[in-house]
This record gives sequence, structure tokens and C-alpha cells, in this order.
Amino acid sequence: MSTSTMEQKPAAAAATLPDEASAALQRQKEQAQRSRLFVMRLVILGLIWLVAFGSRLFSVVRFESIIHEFDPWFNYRATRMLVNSSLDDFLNWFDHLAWYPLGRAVGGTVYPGLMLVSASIYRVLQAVNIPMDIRHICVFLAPVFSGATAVSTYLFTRELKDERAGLFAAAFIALAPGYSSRSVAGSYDNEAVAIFALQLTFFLWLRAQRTGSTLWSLACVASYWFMVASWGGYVFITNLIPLHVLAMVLLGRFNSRLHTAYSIFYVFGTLASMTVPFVNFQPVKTSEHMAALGMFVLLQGVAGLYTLRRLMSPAAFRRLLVAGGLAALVAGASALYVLRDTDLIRPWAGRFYSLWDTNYARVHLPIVASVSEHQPTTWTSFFFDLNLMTVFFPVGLFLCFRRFGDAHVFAILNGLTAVYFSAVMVRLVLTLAPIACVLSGYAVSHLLDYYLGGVFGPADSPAGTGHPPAVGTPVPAAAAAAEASATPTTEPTPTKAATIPAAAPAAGSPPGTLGLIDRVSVLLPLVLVLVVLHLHCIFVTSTSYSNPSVVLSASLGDSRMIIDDFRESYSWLRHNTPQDARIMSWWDYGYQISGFSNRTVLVDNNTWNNTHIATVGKAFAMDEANAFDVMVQNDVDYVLVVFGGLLGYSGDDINKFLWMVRIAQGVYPGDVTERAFFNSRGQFKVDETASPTMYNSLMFKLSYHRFYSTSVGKDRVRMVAPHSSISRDTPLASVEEVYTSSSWLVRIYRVREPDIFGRTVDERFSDFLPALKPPLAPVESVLPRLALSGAGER
Amino acid sequence: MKLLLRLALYVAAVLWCLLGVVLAGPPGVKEQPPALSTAELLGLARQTGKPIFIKADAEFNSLFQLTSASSSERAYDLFLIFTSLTERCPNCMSLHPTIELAASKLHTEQAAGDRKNTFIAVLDYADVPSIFRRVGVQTVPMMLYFGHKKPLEPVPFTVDSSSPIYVSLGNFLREQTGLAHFTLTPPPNYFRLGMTALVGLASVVLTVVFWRKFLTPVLRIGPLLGLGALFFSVYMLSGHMWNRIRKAPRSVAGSLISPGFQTQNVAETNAVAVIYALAALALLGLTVHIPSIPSGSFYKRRGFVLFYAVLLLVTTSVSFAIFRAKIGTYPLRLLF
Repeated sequence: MSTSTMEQKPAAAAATLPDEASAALQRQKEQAQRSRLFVMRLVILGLIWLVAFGSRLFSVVRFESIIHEFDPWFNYRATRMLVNSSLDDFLNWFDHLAWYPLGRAVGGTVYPGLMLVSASIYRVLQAVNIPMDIRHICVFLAPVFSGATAVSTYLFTRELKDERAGLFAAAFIALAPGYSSRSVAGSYDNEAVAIFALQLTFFLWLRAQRTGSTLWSLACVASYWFMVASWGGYVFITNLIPLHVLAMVLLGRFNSRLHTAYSIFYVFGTLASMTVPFVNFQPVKTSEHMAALGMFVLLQGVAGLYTLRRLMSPAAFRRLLVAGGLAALVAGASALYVLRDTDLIRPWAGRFYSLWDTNYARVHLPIVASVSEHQPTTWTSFFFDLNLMTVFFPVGLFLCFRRFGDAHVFAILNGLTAVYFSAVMVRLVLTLAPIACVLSGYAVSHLLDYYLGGVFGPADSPAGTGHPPAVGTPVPAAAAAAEASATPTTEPTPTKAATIPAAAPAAGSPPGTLGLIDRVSVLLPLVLVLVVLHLHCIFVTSTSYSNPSVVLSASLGDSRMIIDDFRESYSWLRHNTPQDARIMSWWDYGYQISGFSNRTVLVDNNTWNNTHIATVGKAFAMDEANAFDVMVQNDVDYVLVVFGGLLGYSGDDINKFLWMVRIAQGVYPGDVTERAFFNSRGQFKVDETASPTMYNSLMFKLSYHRFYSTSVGKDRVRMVAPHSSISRDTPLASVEEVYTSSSWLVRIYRVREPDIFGRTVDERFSDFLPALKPPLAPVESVLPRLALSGAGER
Repeated sequence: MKLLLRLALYVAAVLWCLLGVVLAGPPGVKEQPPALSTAELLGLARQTGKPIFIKADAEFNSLFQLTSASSSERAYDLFLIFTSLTERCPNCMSLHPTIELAASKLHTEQAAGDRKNTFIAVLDYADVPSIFRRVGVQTVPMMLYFGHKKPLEPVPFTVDSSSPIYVSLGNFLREQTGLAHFTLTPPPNYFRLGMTALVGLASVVLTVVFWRKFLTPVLRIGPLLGLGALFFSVYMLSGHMWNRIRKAPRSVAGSLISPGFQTQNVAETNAVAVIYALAALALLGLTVHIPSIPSGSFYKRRGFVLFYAVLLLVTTSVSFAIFRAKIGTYPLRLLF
């Protein structure tokens, strides 16, 4: 493969040839070789795109083209809103269906990038007369963008080494389960486009700081803008790039290109990010963004010092350095102190704080701790999401230290921070996956460079670390490595290449002398490992990350049964309740109810108001009479609970109940106590040993109401029969059952009218038992226990 | 010949590291003391210096009750340990050696026949569940100190993670028993010492053997930092942060692996870390070491190539095997 990029002409090699004609011939040959390789790379990247797209379609093939999970439902609803109105309307959208009675100003509390992308695609297709439903665009957006992510990863990795490493990295990211978990078809979430923007921003940053070009820097700003508009994870970039600049300054690699790139990036990037309504003034006010500002100021100082050093005598410069350093330290510390005391800079946001102090979330933020995405990561999760990249990635890190160019410093910092954060919070494996793929590609390509070196003819002389590049042959990676002292356009001289530590061992053996056995004995295991890695990625994406979770499936021997209770119930709500009905459910189902049923909900997955969520938790946790009061106060018309006891669906509300209790206790410690929900032996039980608070709670009653009428008897999640207080003759006083889905997964109750005489529930219903309706047709007792491969996992 | 010797040394070192991980689980301790009356129980405790294992309700009643002579006083203090010495309570298992240590220490420090003698009684849930219900024990291990005088209000001892258990238990017992110089020091762990010494010896030998050819370049600062980054990421990727945040048990009843996606133990993460590190070193050997071998020494290079290739294949296969042991339904495998 070629060792020179398109923009670097092999002038040095040609100049040494005496004969004009043969030089021309040589040039022509190289030209042909280059264009052949260019086409090949294009084809390979196209194939990688196809693989990335195709491997994410399992859910569409097995189920249908449907939006998955919870958050995507809100994004989908917002996109529909955007498509049906203008951008102005969208940014000013006040959603009165959510957070009753507060509502939610969506325009100012949402990252609009995802919706804008889908809406633009929709508009463009409309303009060229390709009518396509917006739902399909939303469903297939993530797979299409993962192909684009592969391309941006290719570009990023090319900055580290060369095209070969880039292609490997692209192939890795196309398949890595850590990324496909968030980008299968139907997973219409911010991350679907954000990872693409992340990789693209990194690539453009590396290009900008290498060339010092204003254009590349502005391109980086544009990409950063897109990232900010798409995902809250942009803070990672906001801190990583200043960290890179700081490392460069500390390594003594400050130069005017870095200065230009970062100054443009910071000034314009900050301005651009502030145009996103949700971000607003955060970039100049919160601590998360202060590192970038500090680095900007510092960089100007460093630039000034470098200029002064040129102008002053060394002794005077040293005096200035000491005095100025002390003054800057004092001034900076006092400024920070004043800013903090005047509350101009807010402290770290809670979710970010839990990254540093790992106990903080558990103690102070039950709502953060309750989300399984905020838990630390087990080694199985890493292996599941990265497979053997857990081995390739550290090796790539090590190799970066050997080469240690500017781009490598960036990759190292990126890798180390990402691996730490992902170990603390399982959700952030998503930010580790891209850099893990980059460095894995880097490592594997190094290996292949040496063990395949010289196999495909002399033109293929590789640029691996193991041996020095041939004199006079410009090697792009080596050029990048020697960038520290060289100007961007000059070629690296052999002396500069030789100064790279350990890059050229004196006694090195060229790969041409390797025997066939040596090559095969390395390549065979490597290929085996890569094949298994590939199989693993497909297996994981197919089995674990392609469940819509709105539709469940269970296997009955060799046939399959689709359990569509959620959509059944949401559809019932849509068709059988008044337009303005207010529905109370745990917050997990808020987005789906407003998305499917178009009804008002009290709380949803936005979780911005802890008190409101705690109120709902309190209603579920208290006994009927008190819960009735809470529900009446909040104008609740219908209550929806998810109950998996008949089906064996472990992600139901009873299993989430303790979190509701904990969150409610955080706000209403007088009304709800977690301890009271444990029985005398300290266990959380629903059977005969359940505590009175537990079996009197609204949640328990709503879940197990009329459970006796099924022939199952035992709860198939908890594997016990529920407490006998739920027996044939106990009707519910505060609510009445209006709908139960076919597998009992969703149960909907109507809240009874408040008494016009102002009597409490107890007074009203103590001597009045409403006539019991005949039990519904008994549910088939042979309902399958769900094969929960991934349904309750994430 | 020399090459084979070096290979053997390598393999031996690797095996030692693995053995250290596999074997370092705590030994399970369970005694079967014959037990009858209070006098016999106490006699046995005095004789052997072991804690009293209560095996029946009657034993507990007789041991716990006040003497008939003076209803306000018992002849001894009682330190009750409610525990469950099965794999379901890893904390109890790890606590137990310290309890035994405390019992023997009390035995040696207390004069025989002293009215204020303290006895440690262990109640295992498997033996006397009825007592647990009667006392209302909800969590194990629970430790209650009953003085010999009325009122019989117990003083609970709670495990505090800020200091080692033998320190806090020693302080607690010193306060309660009034023995002025009572402290607990754990006996040296000869097994672990031996393992450390062996691993250290192996590294020294390897260092001496490979000093010039292999380790000198490693000692340059860049690669050293690189190795640091490599081990840091292996440490993170093998789930050690989870262990730190969740305070994972060291190992559960001597078995290396706790099955399931959501849990893990220290021993298994250590094993995974070693596997990852070995695989990474094999890859590094192939990428860094092999090219540095001069082209003259053909067979030496081939030997190392084969060694690294086999090491890579074996370690990656092992990582798949461990993962399969963890997740029963996982279908993929490499070699085994």
C-alpha cells in the first residue's frame, strides 16, 4: 500500500533519479498506484458503511420499523412536531402534555441536533419528490450515521498513523457493541448522531492543530457546534481539547499553529455553543466549562512569554518569569475565589460530580443512583461491549507512547480519561468505544505492518514502529510524529525521524527476513481472534441490543410469540380516555404515554423535577386513603402500572418500587420510610411475610388486584404467591380497574371521583363495597415465561 | 537449549502469577465442637481457646441466663456473634478468622476463674435459626456484647470500614473487657508471603536474564509511561473500579467466579486483569520485541514469535472461557 498521502508529493525520491524519462515513468506508476489504492480505500470504506448499517437492522427484521425504548419516543414526538411546524415554533414549544401541571418548555430543555438532522433529511427528500414517512427516517437514522461514524473514525485514526490503521479502526467502530448498543435501527437517541460528531470534532481538531489553518479550525468549530446541539456529552470535548493543549504546552510543544487552532476553537466554539438554547450561558458560568476558559487565558500568556523570550535577554526573561508567575498565581486564585463566592460560577452538576466522588450519587442523588446507566462497570460489561478490544486498546495506548507525536498525545489523553470514566459509569462505555476502536486499529495495523511487510511487493514497505522508514520516503505517520519541531509543509529529515525515541532500534531486523512460518504463526492467531471478535460483535448486537423493549417476544419452543401489551394499552388510552385526561405512572413510561397515547402525564423521563417525581412515588407508596388524597390534589384521572408477575417480566413496577420509595422518602421523609417496606427479617417481600406498609401500599394493590382470578397463583417474577390481603373480596376503594392488557403487563385504573360531601375515602367506602365485576376471561395459563435476553437489562 | 530454558522460565513465572490469584482465596473454617452443658462449653473454651459454637437452643439458654445465686449477675461476659458461615455471607466468612483470633487472645490474656471473664459465642444461622428469630436478627454478621451485670443492655459492635477489622475489634474488646493491653494482631499470612517472595524472585531472575536484551529499552521513560498507561487501562477494563465502589467480596467461598452479569468478586477480576495483561504483553512482544531482534539470530526470533503467538492465542481463549463461565448461554469460544 502507498506510503504517501495525496497531498504529499514524493519529490525527494524523484529528485535523486538521474534520468528524466525514468523519473516521469516512476511518477506515473506511483500516480496509478495511488489512485488504485484510493479507489480501494473508497470501496472498503463503502463496505464498512454497509456492514455498520446492515448489522444494526436485526430489530427491524425481527420486529418492525419501530422506535425503541423510552427517550427515543420523546425525540420522535419532538421530530414530528418539528416537521409539522417551523423551527421557531419548535424552539418555542411549550409542552403541556408533560409534567402536569407544570408543563415543560421543550425548546429550552432539549438538544435539538437530532431532530434537526431528521427534519432536514425529511425536507430534502420531500424536495426531491421522495415521500418518506418521518418515522422511517427516525428509525434508520442511527444505522446510517454509524456508517458516517466509521468514516470519521477512519479520518481520526489516519491522523495517528496511516490509512491502514484508519480502515481497521473504521471496521472496529462499525461493529463495536459498545457503540451499536446506542445506534441500532429504532434507537433514535441523541447518541445516534453525537458519536459521529465526537469523532469528527476530534479529527478536525487534530487536523487544525497540525496545520494551524483557520479553515480547519473553523471546520472543527462547526463540528463542535453540531456536537453541542446534539448531546450533553459535548462537555467531554470541552475538557479534553484544553487538556490536550495543556499537555502540549507542558511538553514544550507550544507553537503558533496550536495557538491559532485553540484560540479559534475556544472563541468561536463557545459563541457557537451558546446559541443552543439548552446550553445558553452555561459555557461562561459553570465549572465544567472553566477548564477551557482557563486554558485559553493560559495559552495567551504562554504565547506572550514565547514572544518575550525572543525579545529579551535570558536573565531578564527569567526574572520576569518568576515575578510574573507568582503574580499570576495570586491573581488567578483570588479571582477564582471571588467568582465562586459571588456564585458567578456554579459548582459541578450532580451527574458529573458523581464521576469524581463515586459515593456522592448514592448518598445525595437517589434519582441518579436509581438509573442503572449510572452504575459502575463490571468487567463482563467491558468484555461484552468491547470484546478483545480490551486487549488491543491498551496495546495501542502503549504504542502511542513510543511514537508520541501530537496526535498520539491526544489519543493517549482521550483513551485514559475515557477508560476511567467508563469504569465509573457504565453509560460512558459509549465514549470509550470510539477511542478504543481507534487505538485497537492502531495496534492491529502495527502488527500487520510488520508481519505482512514486504509480502505485497517492495512498494508496500510499511511504516511500522519496528524499523526506520526508508531514507527519503515521506511517511505520513512519521511526518505527524515529527511535527513537534517541523513546519507542516517540510518533509521530515532522517535525523528527525531518528530522534523519535525507540522508533528505530539500531539492530532492528527488516520484515523481509521473516520466514513464512513466522508470518503464518502470527497472522493465523490474529485472524482467528479478529474473526471471533467479529462474531461476538454481531452476536451481541443481535441478541442484546436489538430489542425494542416496547414490543417483547418470547420463545415457545421453536416458534415465537410477540407480546404487544404496551402498545395495546397505550392505544386503549388514546381511544378510550378524554383528550385532557391526566395519567399517573412511574416516570419510565412518561415519554411513551405522551408519544403513543397523546395524553397528559405527571412525570416523564426528563426527570428534571425531583419533587414532582417524589410526589408520584409517594402516591404509589402510601396506603389507599392517603394515596387518593395525593392523586386528587394532582388531578390524576388514570393510573397506569406495569406488572410482570403473570408473564415473568422482571422490569416491572414492583421491582422498581424500592426506588420509588427511596425517592419519595428523600422529599417526604415524614410520609414514607424505606424501612417500613421491609418485613421483620429485613427482606423486601410480597408474599405472606410482607410488611403491612408494603401490602397496604397503592402499588401493591394495583399490581395484584384480582391476581387470584388467574390460574397462575404464583407471581412469576418473585416466585411467590402475593399476600393474602389481596383476595377475592377486596375491591379497591380509591380507584377502579378499567383496562388490563392481554398478558397483564399493563394495568390501568380510573381514579374515583372525589366525594362531593368532602368525606375521606375511608368514610365513603367503609360500608360500601362496589359490586364486584365478573372476572375477565381467564388468561391462558400456558403463557410463556419471557426469555429475557435483554428486555430488562438496560 | 538456552532458549528453551528461558521459555520455561517465562512459563513458570506466568503460572506462578496465575496460581497466586487462584489459590489466594481465604480458607473456609468450620469447627464441630461437641457441646452439652454450660460448664462443658466453658471448660472447652478455656481449654482450647476457641470460641463457643452454640449448636442448640438449650445451650444458648443455659449459657445466657443469669446464675441462680445472684440474679443480678452472671459469672462471665458474653460476646455474641450472629453469623452465617456459608458462601451466602462472604462478610461472615471473612470476619470469622478474626473472631477466632480474638477468642484465643482473650483466652491467653484472662486469668482463669476471674469473674469478669469474657467468652465469645458464635451462633451460626444454619445451626440455630430459632434463636435468630427470637432475638430478631435481620442482618449478619451482628455482634453484641453482653456485660455480666444488670441491666443486660447489649453493646453492639459495628464493622467500620475506615480501619482494619482487627484494630477496631481489638479496641472494642479492650474497652469492654477492661484488659488494659488488649490488642489484636493477625498472624502472618505465610502463604501470601511465600507467594510474594516467589513472584519477586521470579521477577528478579527474569530481570537478570533479560536485562540487556529486553528490559533496558523498557526502562526508557517513554515506554515506561506507556506500560503505566497499559496497566492502568487493564486495571480499569477488568472492572476494578466496580470492586472499589461496590466493595466487592474477595472471593465467594473459594470459587473463582460469581456467575451473572451484575456481580463479580475480586479474585475473578484479578484473574481477568492478569489474562488481559498477558495478552497485551504477547501483542507487545510481537510488535516491539520481535522487530528489535537482529536478523542474524533467526531461530531465536522464531522461538519468540511462536511463544508470543501461542501466548496470545491461549490468553484470549482463556478470557472467552472465563466469560462463558460467567454467562452460561454465551456460545463463542476460541480454543477451549
